[in-house]
Amino acid sequence: MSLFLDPYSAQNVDEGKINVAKVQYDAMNTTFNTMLRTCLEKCIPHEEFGEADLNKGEMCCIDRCVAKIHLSNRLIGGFAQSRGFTPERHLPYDRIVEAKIATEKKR
Amino acid sequence: MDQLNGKEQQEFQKVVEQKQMKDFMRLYSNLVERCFSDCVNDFTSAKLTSKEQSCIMKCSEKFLKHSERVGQRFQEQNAALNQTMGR
Repeated sequence: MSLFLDPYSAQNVDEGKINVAKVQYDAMNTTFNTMLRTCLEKCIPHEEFGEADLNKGEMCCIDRCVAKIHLSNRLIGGFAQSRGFTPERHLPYDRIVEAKIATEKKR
Repeated sequence: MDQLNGKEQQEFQKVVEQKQMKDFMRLYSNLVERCFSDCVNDFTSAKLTSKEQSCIMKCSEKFLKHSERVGQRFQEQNAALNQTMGR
């Protein structure tokens, strides 16, 4: 791209930072998708769609479901931290090694 | 995500767009799967009956409203969380 067209031409791209942002994005995404799936399962019945709109009970259930899943997340987050729940300790060893080698190679 | 410089943000934006597209396709196929399996259980004909059609329409509408509502609440929770963490 031309120096004159690209306003950011003077800036460097730090791949590491972008990768961190990707991981953060994925984490948020996973949280949201889990929330969608779980609360749909818990709040919307499978048979008899009486109406297209959400009824009062369903709305109320969704609001509480989202609030509760959020709190559960924080609760479990705290617990996991206190118990030292880390990929090194809780995921198969070879996968970690592979990932570490990959990041070393990038440097 | 907010400490990225302009160029990095540009790059990241592209990644996000791809991810969002992928995610949207997944959401859509979930919608079809859910409403098809909830509404269509009779295979004596290859055509959708009017009952099945109206069930699918209601189911889809409900699914979308569910997603919207969860999205709203999720954003609210996030905003509240960011505030308490003082960012």
